[in-house]
Amino acid sequence: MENRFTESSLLLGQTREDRRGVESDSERLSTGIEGLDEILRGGLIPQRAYLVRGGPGTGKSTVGAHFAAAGKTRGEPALFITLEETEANVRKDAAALGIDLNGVALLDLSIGPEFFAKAQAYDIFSPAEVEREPTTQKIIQQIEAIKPKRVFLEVMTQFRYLASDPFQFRKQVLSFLRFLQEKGATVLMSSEGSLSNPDDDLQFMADGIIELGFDGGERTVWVRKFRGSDFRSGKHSLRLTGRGMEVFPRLVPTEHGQSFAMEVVSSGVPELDELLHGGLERGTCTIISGPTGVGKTSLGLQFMKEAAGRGERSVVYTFEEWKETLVRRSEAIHIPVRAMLKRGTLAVEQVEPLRYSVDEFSHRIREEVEHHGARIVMLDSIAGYHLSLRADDLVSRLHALCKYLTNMGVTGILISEQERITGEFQATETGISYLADNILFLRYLEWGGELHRALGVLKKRVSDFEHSLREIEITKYGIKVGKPLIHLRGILTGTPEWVKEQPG
Amino acid sequence: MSESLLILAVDRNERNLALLTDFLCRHGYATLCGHSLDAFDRALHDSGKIRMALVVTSGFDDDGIWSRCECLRQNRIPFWVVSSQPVRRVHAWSIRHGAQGVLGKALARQELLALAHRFVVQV
Repeated sequence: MENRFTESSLLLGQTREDRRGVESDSERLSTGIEGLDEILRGGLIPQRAYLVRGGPGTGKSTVGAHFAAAGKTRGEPALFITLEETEANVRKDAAALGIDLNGVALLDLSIGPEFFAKAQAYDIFSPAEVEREPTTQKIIQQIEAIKPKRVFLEVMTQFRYLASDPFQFRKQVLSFLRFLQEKGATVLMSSEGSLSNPDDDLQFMADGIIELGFDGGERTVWVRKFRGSDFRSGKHSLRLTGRGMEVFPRLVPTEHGQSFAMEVVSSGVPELDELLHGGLERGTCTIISGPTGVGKTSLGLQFMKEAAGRGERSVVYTFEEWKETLVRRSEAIHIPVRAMLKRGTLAVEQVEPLRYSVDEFSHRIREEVEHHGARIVMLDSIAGYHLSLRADDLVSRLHALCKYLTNMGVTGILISEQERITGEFQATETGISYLADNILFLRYLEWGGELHRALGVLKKRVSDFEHSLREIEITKYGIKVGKPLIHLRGILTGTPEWVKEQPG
Repeated sequence: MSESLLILAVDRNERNLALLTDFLCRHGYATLCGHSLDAFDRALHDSGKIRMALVVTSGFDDDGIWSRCECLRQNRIPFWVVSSQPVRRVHAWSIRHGAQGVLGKALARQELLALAHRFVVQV
């Protein structure tokens, strides 16, 4: 089979789409958030105005703080204008998220306590008549003094109160943005638009719209508009951490790829390799299916053990089993997981329920593949992935993940647990058989009053395979695979019968 | 011409008074302010210099403020009542006490200047 890609490896955050984007990365202005830059194909186009929208607590100010701080680190003067929060609070909140705003100029136009304490309320003139001029003057003074390349304005919708009517507001905003752009600034402005307080006019005026959401326990970011550039559509996950905002772009497999040799990955068990006509090919996805306790995980780890011998790194994401349990029971069957972990040829991550979103989890896999060079990735199990990551669209998400692994030349192993111990055969329980290049199945069989295990191959897309089943034993000396079970019939029913002669 | 005009502004809200005074001063009008009935009385004592008055009635007791409005009328000082209530509601009452008219809040600055200017011409 031909390699699908001839390009050299792409780093995380650099996609082939980026390379053929409208403008190169050097012409883009980083938002300070790597994942958001990736969604924006490298960042914002300079000297344009962008709107960051979202309800309370969605992270608008955090995006602004990142944007301003990124300017400081790149030697670009930045100005943060706040109309609601005090300067002290803005700096404190940013610092709490690990964003250093030292060196970023901050213009505090928030209402001070004297407004309340010294009876500063008025109604003789409209706020638009009273506040607009001094506010505008303060901003102009700062712009002239600092000559910022980046301006974050929090909250732009407050400016609505400085205009006598919507037409005046539109005129003032357009004029203000033009003023900033002519001064060489790229503008990011936040909006608290809602159904009761619409900001449609700002959305039309902005060159780009970044929409933030916080719904059902998951934070999302969504680019709705980006004049002059392509962008990654759809909602992407984000997380607010001690390092600020982290954005995890949705995995688009066609945007990733690297050249790799289409070689066979041996299991290290000759009989198993015979069954597979050599092993599993690189850049393929394999489902190992079977009932509980039959040895699916051990079988997957066997391929990793052999890969570790070649100095290759593998990763196991375990959704149900404790890491320590997996380590102990692997050691008990002669798979030296501790040593592999120590040498870095294996990583085992126990994925806590609801800890990650699907996008975030995909990002972790990308880091393993693109930064740590993982060559085999195993998800244990598909059901755990579905439940722990709240993957509503399981099939499409797994499809994307498998395609990504394939494009990157990584061998993917998905563990699929069957509820039924014996009885009618079913390849997988979630209707994802078609995603897999290979399907290995494990079965419990009963003969002679004893429970046995059998292993077979149901599908192998890239090469032929042995069509009979073999008995498999998991012992303290490792995995043992027997000769083909050619004298049994009704194997898939779980209660086979000997057709010619008794064993031995 | 406008420099000679002294405008009396009466309002319980000192911030309102400050904004009004500042605005009128910037346009060349001298003002006299009162944020209490006592201050209003003192201004009336000096009524010879007052050519026009703007009276915000809210916050004052009705008898007190309207009796001072009667004094403005007796002294032939034209005045306007400034109200945040619908003009229609306070109009009749204001006219009855001698007001030239009622101005609704928030005042439009250009309209206020036009009024002052027209008044100066008339005087």
